Amino acid sequence: MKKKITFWCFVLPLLIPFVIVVLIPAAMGFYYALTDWNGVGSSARFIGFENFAYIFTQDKDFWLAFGRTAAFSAIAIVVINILAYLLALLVTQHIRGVNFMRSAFFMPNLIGGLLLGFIWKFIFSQVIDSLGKASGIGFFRNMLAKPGSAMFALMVVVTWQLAGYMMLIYISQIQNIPKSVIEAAMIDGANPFQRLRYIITPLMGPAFTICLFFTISNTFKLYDQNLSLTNGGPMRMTELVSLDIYNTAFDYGMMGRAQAKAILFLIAVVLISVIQLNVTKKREVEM
Amino acid sequence: MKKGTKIFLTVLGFFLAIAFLTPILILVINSFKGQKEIMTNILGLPQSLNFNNYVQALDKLDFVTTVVNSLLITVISSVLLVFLSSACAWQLVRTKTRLSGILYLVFASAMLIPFQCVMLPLVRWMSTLGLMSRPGLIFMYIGFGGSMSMILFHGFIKNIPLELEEAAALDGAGPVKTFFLVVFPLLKNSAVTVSILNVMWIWNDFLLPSLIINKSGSQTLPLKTYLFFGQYSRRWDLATAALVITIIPIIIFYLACQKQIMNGVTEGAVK
Amino acid sequence: MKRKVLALALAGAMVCSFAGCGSSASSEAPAAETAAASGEAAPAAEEEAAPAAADGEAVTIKLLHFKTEVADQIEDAAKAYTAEHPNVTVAVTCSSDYNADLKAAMSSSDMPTIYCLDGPEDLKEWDGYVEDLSAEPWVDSVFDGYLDNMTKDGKIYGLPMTVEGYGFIYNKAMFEAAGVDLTTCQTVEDFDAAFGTLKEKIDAGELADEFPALTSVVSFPVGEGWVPGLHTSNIFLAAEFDGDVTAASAGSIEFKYADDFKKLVDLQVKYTEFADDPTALNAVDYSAQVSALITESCAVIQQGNWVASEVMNADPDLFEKLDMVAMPITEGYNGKLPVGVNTNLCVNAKADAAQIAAAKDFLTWLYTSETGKDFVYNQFGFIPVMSGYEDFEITNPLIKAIMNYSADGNTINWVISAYPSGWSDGVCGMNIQKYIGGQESWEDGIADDVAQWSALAAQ
Repeated sequence: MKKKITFWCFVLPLLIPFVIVVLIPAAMGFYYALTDWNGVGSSARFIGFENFAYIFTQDKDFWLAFGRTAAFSAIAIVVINILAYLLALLVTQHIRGVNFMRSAFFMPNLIGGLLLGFIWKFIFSQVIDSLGKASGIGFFRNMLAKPGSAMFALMVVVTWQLAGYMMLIYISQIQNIPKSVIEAAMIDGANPFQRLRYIITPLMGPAFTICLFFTISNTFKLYDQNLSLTNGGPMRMTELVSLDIYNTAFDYGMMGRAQAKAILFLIAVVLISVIQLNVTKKREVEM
Repeated sequence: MKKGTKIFLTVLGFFLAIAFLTPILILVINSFKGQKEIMTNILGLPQSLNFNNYVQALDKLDFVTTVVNSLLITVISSVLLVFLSSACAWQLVRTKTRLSGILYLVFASAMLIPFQCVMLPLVRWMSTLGLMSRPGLIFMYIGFGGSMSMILFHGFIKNIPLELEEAAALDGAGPVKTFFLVVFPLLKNSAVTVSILNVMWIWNDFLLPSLIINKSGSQTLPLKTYLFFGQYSRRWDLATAALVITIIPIIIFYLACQKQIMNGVTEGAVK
Repeated sequence: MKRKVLALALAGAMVCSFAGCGSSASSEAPAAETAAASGEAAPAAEEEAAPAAADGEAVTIKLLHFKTEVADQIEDAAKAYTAEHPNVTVAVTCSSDYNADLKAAMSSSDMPTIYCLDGPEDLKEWDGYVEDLSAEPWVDSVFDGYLDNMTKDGKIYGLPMTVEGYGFIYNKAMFEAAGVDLTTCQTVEDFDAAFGTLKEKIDAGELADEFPALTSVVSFPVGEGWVPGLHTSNIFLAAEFDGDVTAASAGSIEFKYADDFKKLVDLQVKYTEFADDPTALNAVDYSAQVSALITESCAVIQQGNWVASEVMNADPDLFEKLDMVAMPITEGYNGKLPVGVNTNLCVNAKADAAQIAAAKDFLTWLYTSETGKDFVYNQFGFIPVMSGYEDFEITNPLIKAIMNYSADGNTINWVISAYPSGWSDGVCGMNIQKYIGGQESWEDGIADDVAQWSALAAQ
């Protein structure tokens, strides 16, 4: 009993704002998914599952965006986490300038999303384009005008922004590994690579769990960079799900349908994340 | 480590660091140029060290009011977030019941909700509650930031040995005392990390404040900065300067925290 | 017991969450707002001239708009109004994501009193939120046709903010140096010949001394869906409906002049720097296009008088060298400049009576008083929509061009406000991107445009 009281005393102060701010509006959103709400006033008319039916039968663009987002995220998750982990290992070595490096890698997070997208847009359309011109490598010419290379450009920007963030989480975890464990391994004659492979990496479990989850959530929900770098173009071939949902809601004024899309999307992402959390958690090594 | 490897890693690190910094350098360099110079010569150094953009941007940002708003909202929200979410996470880790597992999953899956989808219901509901104000915004940040912070602490707390808490309990310390005197001090590094991540996000956030407090007098720095970027007119000269102004406080904060983290490292090494 | 603990913890949590905020909240609440709230209880104010001033009741009205380029100036005008009417505070909010912000603001209890709507489509969507402005004093002085977008069932619901016009904005100095006169050009062939001459001289290096950066005649931002999808398409649809917005709102289009539309798109593509590899145009956006004009790397862009503030800020001398000429449309419509109302100021019918009265008075003051007119004309740089501005001198060359076309009767009304939501960028703009990228024929694109128009209009 007493334990229960303690539990709620510690949990509720966070849970209450969370329920009020996130869960209740989300539940309201669920209701609107069953209406033809256009976002204005309380003009919503209950239409049952019509929105879902439309999405499943007619909305090709949404499913294209969906597939694109899944593919994009799958690649981004691998690239970002490998890079972030390597960066974290690099800046926890005893070499000169780690403080500077660490700050530099994290710096992209200091600036908000949209405006930086415009700077990157310039880098791709001018700087990299002229590099392409000089070197004769066709891939670097007008990268944002071709769907394939525009997606690649988006990947670069997202990696650049998220790698430093994930690095910070990996660093925290590396620092939590008791020095005694590593020293013991050194005494046993493990070389740096063996220490990394058999001691450090297995103990990174919780950090992997968190970082994988964060990258999934961040790349699936990607919006700012998508908007400012390509705005879905050319030909809506780089439009990811969040942008599609946003456009449905505000450009086309179909709030109810946008909410329905959001729910479908949410279900998919939650499924993926639950699987991920279960798989990675099982692999965590308890200390 | 062999000397050769060390040199290689150092060179590699510096090279990567500079590559990461390039876009930001471009931003800083251009904040000293006029609009036309930005268009004609974006990569070159500015023709003269001209602080005109900064003077104008400071004035148009209504700097003092705006920065105070940004600071208050960011600091209060992140401090509350650190305490509330670490407390919550601690109980969720230590109480191994079905309920705590479910709560963890609910918090986690909320991170996956695209903000655009809750925003209209949110605004309507918040104004019913009378929360369309700066304190209301802070309350919302606790709600939205709670998931991420809680999950981070959840991961970190799992690594703290249970024995310390058990010892404290044997000494007769209640849960509040145990948490603040035993658990929280051990989380110092993690708390700094969580704070950095929260501060970054809240400081730069645009969408939420634009819905909740977008009226003169209570605007934050990003709200004011985005006014340099309309559909038909993009004041690159002022926007770049405004962005640099916005980043400076946060760099100072980050460097201060960085020192904290580094101290933490040496402490650990001594142990 | 359990429930009690829960309630306690709940209370504790709330105190904790609000700690440190509560005190500041009460002290920060502006006096005006509190007063406005209490004003609700007061008897509804009369709708006569300056009714709010009569009883001296303090009122706060909120203005939400998206004209970022004049955000400061509008705020100054609001302050000037308060200086003359001390009991009325006008809180101005400028939004850079207007559709979303308007919906959010209207869902809250903190609704805007004055806000912007574009045309019949918006009126339909915001039915019940628009106050009837038919009895306002400015209604009779607004020029013919400018109230059409905001007229429904014979009632008027909005004050046209300004009119705007677009066409080929060009650098006079460059064409003079090449010995070409654009003002006499009417048809696509005329422009083709004129641009061709300039291109030859650029390629031959004859203009390199005077305009070292000049590399191509045109910059065409296909990547910015609304430039071809909204503005270019509009002139052909305006011709189809002869500028009649109501007829265009009927729910379907024929796209009679699709071939002429193709000719104009092809003309622009032909004279860009990417004529050989047009796919690259899909990455050119508005920013890049205006930059090209400002840095003098191109001579012509398809844009409107709204580029003024950006060009003027970057290079005032260049601005003086600009002029605007009507784009070729089709036989019978060539030489006509599309001029229209982009957006209108509406009053929120769901606001308090006192707010509505104050809002109406503010709009009347802004567009008809001497102080207000000075703001509208000189500070905002707006083209007047009503009589009473005859004494002001025109210095802006783009506005001068638009006024000349208007004076000669050579304008055609926009039908943009009849476009179904999402059609311009999402459908038409995209089909042009596909056409430029070589993924779809022009004819298929037009067929899709026509089909989607009907589908979207039906929703």
